[in-house]
This record gives sequence, structure tokens and C-alpha cells, in this order.
Amino acid sequence: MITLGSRKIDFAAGQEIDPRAIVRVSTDYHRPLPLRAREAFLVRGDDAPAGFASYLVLPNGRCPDNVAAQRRVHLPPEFEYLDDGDVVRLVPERGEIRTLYRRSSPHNSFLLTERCNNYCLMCSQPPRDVNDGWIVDEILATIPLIDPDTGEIGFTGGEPTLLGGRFFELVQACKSYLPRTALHILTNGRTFSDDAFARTLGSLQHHDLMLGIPIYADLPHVHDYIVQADGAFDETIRGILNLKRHGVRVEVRVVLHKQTVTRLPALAAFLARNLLFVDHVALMGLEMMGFTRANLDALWIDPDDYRSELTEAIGILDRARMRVSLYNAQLCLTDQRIWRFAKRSISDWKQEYMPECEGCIMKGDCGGFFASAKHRYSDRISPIAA
Amino acid sequence: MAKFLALAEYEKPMAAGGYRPLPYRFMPLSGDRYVLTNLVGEFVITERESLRVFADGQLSYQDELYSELKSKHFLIDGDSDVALDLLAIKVRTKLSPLANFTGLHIFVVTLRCEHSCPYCQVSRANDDRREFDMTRETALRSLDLVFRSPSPAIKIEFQGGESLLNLDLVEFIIEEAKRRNEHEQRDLAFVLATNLAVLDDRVLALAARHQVLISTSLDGPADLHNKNRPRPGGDSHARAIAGIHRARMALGRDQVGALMTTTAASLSRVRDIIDEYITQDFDGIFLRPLSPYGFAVKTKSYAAYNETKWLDFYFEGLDYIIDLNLGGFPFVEHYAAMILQKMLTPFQPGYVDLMSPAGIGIGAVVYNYDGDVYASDEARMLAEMGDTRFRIGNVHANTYEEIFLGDALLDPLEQSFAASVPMCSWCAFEPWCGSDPVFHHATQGDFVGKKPLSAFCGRNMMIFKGLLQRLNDRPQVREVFERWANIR
Amino acid sequence: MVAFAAGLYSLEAIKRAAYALMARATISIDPSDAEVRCTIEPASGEDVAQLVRDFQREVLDQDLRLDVEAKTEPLRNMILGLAFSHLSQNG
Repeated sequence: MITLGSRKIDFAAGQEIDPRAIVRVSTDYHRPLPLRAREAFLVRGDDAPAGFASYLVLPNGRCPDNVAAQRRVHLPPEFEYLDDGDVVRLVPERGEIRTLYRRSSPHNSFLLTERCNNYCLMCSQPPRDVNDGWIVDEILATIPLIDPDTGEIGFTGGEPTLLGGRFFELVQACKSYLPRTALHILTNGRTFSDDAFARTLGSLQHHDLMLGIPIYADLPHVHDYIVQADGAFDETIRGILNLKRHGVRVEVRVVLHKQTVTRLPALAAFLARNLLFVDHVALMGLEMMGFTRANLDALWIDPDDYRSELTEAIGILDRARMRVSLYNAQLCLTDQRIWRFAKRSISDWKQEYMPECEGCIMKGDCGGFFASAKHRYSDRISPIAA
Repeated sequence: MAKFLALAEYEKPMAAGGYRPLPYRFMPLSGDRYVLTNLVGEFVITERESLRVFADGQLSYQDELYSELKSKHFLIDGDSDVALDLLAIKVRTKLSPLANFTGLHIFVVTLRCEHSCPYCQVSRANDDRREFDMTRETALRSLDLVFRSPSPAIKIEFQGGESLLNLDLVEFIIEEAKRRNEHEQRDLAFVLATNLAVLDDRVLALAARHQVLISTSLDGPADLHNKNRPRPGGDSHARAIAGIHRARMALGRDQVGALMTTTAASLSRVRDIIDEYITQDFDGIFLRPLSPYGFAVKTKSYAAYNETKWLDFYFEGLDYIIDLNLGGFPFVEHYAAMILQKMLTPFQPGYVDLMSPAGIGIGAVVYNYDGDVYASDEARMLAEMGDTRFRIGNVHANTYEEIFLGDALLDPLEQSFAASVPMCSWCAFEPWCGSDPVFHHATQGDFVGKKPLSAFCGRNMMIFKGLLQRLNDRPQVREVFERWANIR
Repeated sequence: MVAFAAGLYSLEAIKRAAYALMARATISIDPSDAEVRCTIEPASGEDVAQLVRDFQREVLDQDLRLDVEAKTEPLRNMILGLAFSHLSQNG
């Protein structure tokens, strides 16, 4: 688990730093001068070149006295992970630093808005009805700073499409500034039930775009209950149909919990029969974040108790030749015949293992746990022996 | 934090308003068990009493059957109507093979053959005269028609006689088709049907150069095969096996396929036949129905007697193959696989005999050596027996429009729309079935046939029921069937 | 001979049932005001009692089928309409 942000930073020595700066981090002593003026130098050793907009000084770092005394920020040890090419936001007034992008991570994602038209029982990022349009501006400023060799970035929310036209601006920015980078967007898909909205996204012709859209049940009312929005199922399905018609790739996402596992095989059969043309199906273990804790009684089921439904559902999808992945699953609670679908996907800053995992030979292949799982996890975890 | 609503809140539209059944049909299976099918062949198996309750509008939304019927698009209620959109798309997908019109074009490049198989209606064994060879002019005119077809994928299959006896023409057609395709840009593929007895390096080089699939005949183990397929020397089986190995070596294992013809002598030998296919390293077998052509087709007794025996043959073979799969050895029965594709997937196989309206002229068209055009391979065989009802034109005498939009093709097509045929119009198996006007014309004298008397209907009904019973009774068999259904 | 009270089942259902059983029996249908009389001539080897039971059940099923067909006809047309409008929309 790594710390992405802090608001306890002392900016006393950084009075010349912009009131709100989004800066690329550099460790390059030979950085051309014009670029230094808008970047932050990461001070790890006992030297630093002149001319950077700011200096991020790690605990063992030491800035020479003659370099920019009024542009220094001293960072606590949890920011040791920062490196060349990362992008951070500095807000001196709030004592804030926030890492927006890490070049070494395969899991960079951007929250586009906190607003949402679903209210899912297990939402890990509970929506807030706030005016947060500033986020878009910040991301538009960040995108050009991202290393164009980044493999993939993600957009999440809230519901990104609630941004309307600005949503397309963001996709276009990714297409223009990151021509080799895949873009993965988490959306509930409902907005795309408007064919024109789907057509506009398709017409942007992003080079490597995938929309991750949840379908939680084959029965509309069960899905609507889980997302707490009447009519959501029909809109989501129509959205997927429209997106595929306009050539946009779609991944169906299913979170595994008590309300979804009972009809999981029926959902798999429904997908294979009606949405065979989607590009990927992702089945995902429950994350103990946000609303999940409030609704734990309605949601919690030990993964050991839905083994057979999970195996059957994955079998149905696989035999129908759909591409299937299983995320956030612990191998010791999963039938071996579906291990080949299990992916290690939890963002590196969230992934952990439990004391019971000690000595397990499969640990290196196992999805492990969200850090939040300490709140509740299966009491049947056991190390797999050789 | 806003309050979360209970599941019951989202059930209210169902509790309040009742439901509307979507179009469906039903048939008894055995005892009180019935199968219900919807417009696109999705199915639910239940008891007659539950069916009656559902039909009467009395089924409770809390009933497990209600959920299954709703999930599989047998009903809509006040909760959701996206089922209509999904059904429309599924209907369109099922009809898409029709939209492509003719994809398979069979060229009969010669009637000459060095075999003298009794079940063959078309070959002229041991005949050295070239009058039974297709000419270049006929081939060129046929190709004109091939490329008039709107289909984006075109498969040209060479048949005989023994097609290799006119290899010069095969090569000529392939090269000419490829030349034209530089402009046409279709997905062009070639199949060479041959008994492999006269295979040589020149054939293999040609096949390798143009990625030609080889389709050969393998009727079973040596004694059965040689009995079915006599040739001078009595070595048909040995030559076929040697040819299969040689062709695989030169072209790739999966570039060689084999088809069996079922004869009276085959009926007691199904395991031997399957074992032969396993021995020869094939991934599956097509247990084909007895061909009525060449038998006394117009006597009813033929059909009834032989169909019963054939069904025993078929199910014995099917169960043997299922057991192989359950034991971990993957092997496919292709007739079942095509039907299962209709039952278990959104797709529709392009197999001529299982299309409705009939696949004739749409699934396949045959260009005979003399330029006559037939609506299917069976239609050509029927013609060789003196019945030219399905000759739809001649490449020298008729235009594309005359051939493909003329009454000779359109009449049987129109009459064979299964949805409008008595018995088919209410049959729950109709979404999985086809209509075979050539068969019914041959056996009953009209294109449609009286289905209760039709061997085609009786046989398919038994197969549908047999497959349903097997997949419904054992989940492991259902898994095997799901695999077969998705071979594409 | 089997008789159904007039109006209990549609004549169409009885005709369809007779058609479906044509391989096993020749069934002639004689409707009057009070009842529909069906005379069954079994094919050789058919058990008459079984044939009558099967015929009665077939009539019952056919009657239900006609009912279902009538009820679902509008939605059937609507779905086919949707399917073909999509077809023209997307070539």
C-alpha cells in the first residue's frame, strides 16, 4: 500500500511555488532549462541543479544552499516511490501534494467526477453531488505531461459520461497526446442509450479504447436493485448495443457478492446468448470500500460458498468463446480448473496478503487482497502446499 | 448517506402489472415434460401444468420458472422491455446467412471416376471419354455467375466424378477465380473433393499454393470402406489413408477433412466407423443420414424402415462419442454440433439441409459439367435419376436473373418457408430445423411434404428430443454440447 | 369415435391434431351444432385406446397453441419489424 496524497506537507520553505501547480517530476540533472521552469526536481541525494519550478526533497535528500531556497517542499518517507516522469499536484495553501500519475505503474487512473446516476450497494467510491468540473481541467493539464510510452491509463468516477461534451474532450486529449496508450473507462453505460452519444464516442476513433460496463444480473430488477436505479438495466443494455454498433469496445464487469452470485450461471448464459459480441467479461471479487461496509449483510458471502457458481459461469462464458478474466480472487478459494482465468489486477498500492497466506506456493500468482479486506475476508484462507 | 431501497421496491412493477408472453411454441418431450422455444431457438423445459399456468397468465413473478422465462425472453413485464430489442437483434443474427445469399459454389469438373460406388448416382466409372468433362468455356461462364453472388465470402468446391481426373480445369478455375478476385476482394476459399486414389505431387503443390482444403471420403474401416467404394484392385481404403497422410504432411493436419456415406452395411458398424476416424486422427465425424437418392425413394416403406435403423445407428454413435468426451477425449459429432449451434448460440450454421427457407440456391449452388445449374448437390443427383425439377438453368442459355430469380428456384423456396408449412408452423423445433424441398420432392412429390409422413421430419424430431434429453439430464453432457455448439 | 362438445375447442385445433396424427390414423371430422364428432381409422398395428388418448391430448395442446399464437402475434410482428428495420439501417 502506498500513499498517493497528503495534506500535511510543510510548504514553509516553498513560498515561491505556484498556488496550484501540476508538475512533472524530474531526476535529470541535464534537463533543458526551458523545461525546468515548469517541472519539479526530486532531491534524493545531496545535490540539485538550478532552475526548477520546485524541489521535492526526500528525507535523505539535501538541497545545496544556493539552490532555490523558496521553492522547496520536504516530503515524508512514504513518498520515496516518486520517480522521474511522475506527475504531482502541489497546493501549498492546503499543505497538499497528490500523485496524479506514476510512470512505473501499470494502474494509472483518473477520477473524472464524483457525480453518478447509479448508487450501487457496493460502490467503492460513493458518489457526491458536487460541482467538480475543475477536475476535468486538471486532467486536461495532466495528460500532456504523461509519458507517451505508458501502456494504459484509466478513467473512473462517479459516472464519467455525466460530463457530457467535456467527456469527449478528455477522450480526444488521450487520443492526441497519448497515441500509443490504451484508454480504459469505467462507466455504467446508461448515457450511451442515447445513440447520438455513443455515435460521437465512436466517431472519435480512439486507437485503443475499452469501456468497462457493469451488468449485475440477467434479471433487470435485480440489476436495478444492486445499482439502486430503476430502469438502469435497460439503459445499460441499450447503451452497450449502441456502443458496439458504433465500433466501441466493451468489457462487461460483474462484481461478485451475495446479490450477484446466485444467478451468476444464468447471467453467464444471458451474456453468451445476447451480448456475445462484447470484448471481455471481467468477474471481480468484492472490495471492502465505501458503501460495501454499510451494506455488508446484504453483500458479504464467503467466496468459498460461491465456488461452484463461479466455476460454472466461467465455463459457460469460456465455452461460448468469450474472453473471461477473474479479478481479486484468492486462488485457495477458487477451483483449480478456473485458475487460468485469474488475473493479478489489484493496483499495486492496494494489494496485500494475509497472515494465513504464509508459506503458500501460489502467492506469486494469486490476486491477493485489497488492503481494505482487513475489514472482512474469508475465514477459509489456507496456504496452498506444494 | 441516502437510504438504500430494498429488493422488494424493485419488484413492484412485476407484482403490480402481470406479464405479456413473447412469441413461443411448445412440444411434448416425454411424459409430462414439455419444451418451450422462442423465436430464436432459446428453450425452457418444464411440466405441462406449469406451461398451462404460464399460458393462462397466472405464473407468479416469484416462481423460479418466471425468472427463467424472463431471462430467456419468453415474457416481458412492467419492469423492462429491452428484451424486444435483444430479440430483434437475435432474429437478425439468425437470418444473416440468408442475407449473404449463395456462398458455396460447387463445380462438377468431370463425371469420370475410377471408383464404381453403388451409392453414387453421378459418376461414369472407367469412362475415358472427355464428353463428361467440364469445358473451359463452361467454367468461365460459371465463374461469371459465382461473382454475381453478393456474398462477401465465396467458397468454390470441386467435385466429380473424381475431380482430380480433370486437374487441368481445376487449376484453370482456381487461377481465373483468383485473378478476378484481385478486383472483387471477396473472402475466397477452395475445397477439393477427392477420393485421393490418384493423388500426386502436382495436386499437392497446387493445393499448397492456393491453400486448398482437401475433402475426402472415408466410410469406415477397410472392409466396410472397400465394400462401399469398389475400385480396380479393391484398395480404396489403403489409397485414401495414404492420401490423407500425404496431404496432411504437405498441407497441414487441419487442411484435410473426411466425410462418410452411410449405407445399409454401415448401420451395424457405428463404433467401428468412429474408431476409424479416431485412428486416422480426425477431430470429429459427421454421422450422415442415409441418402435417399439411389434407393427406391418414392416408396414410403423405404423411409420408415431405414430411418428407424438409422436413428439407432446415430444414437449409438452419439452416445459413444459423448462417453469419449466425458472421459476427457474431445471428439465432435458434426450433425449434432450444427443443431446445437442453433439451440445454444445466437448463430445459424450455413448447412444446406438445416436452413429455412430451404438452403437450396442460397446455401449452395451446383454448376454441372455440362453447364446445367442445380439448386443443391442433392438436386443434381435427383437429375441424374431423371428428375430435373431442380435444374434452375444453364450457364450458356440463361442469365443470372433467369437462374436465381426464376420460378424453378423461387417456387420451392417460397413454399418451404417452414413458418408457413402445416406442422412446421406450430412446431417448437422449427427454429432448430430446416426444410429440404429436394428431399420432399423426391420422397413425396411436392416441395413441402406432409411432415407427419416425412422421414426428414421424423428423424430430426427424434434427434432434437434426443439431444434435449441428454443435455437436460446431465450437466457434464451439457458442457460437451456447449463446446460443440461453439465450433465455428 | 371421439366427440368434443361444440365450442369447447376450436375446430382449427381439432383439424391440426388430426393432421399431426396422419401417420397413425385417418381422422375425419364432422362438426354439428352440439358437438364435433371425430371418426378415427387407425393405421395397422396402432392401439386404438392409446391413439384416442394421444388425439385428445393433441387437441388440447393445439387449442393452447392457437391461444398462444393469438396472444403473441402483435409482439411477434413488432419484433420482426424491429429486426428488419435494423437490417435496412445497417445494410
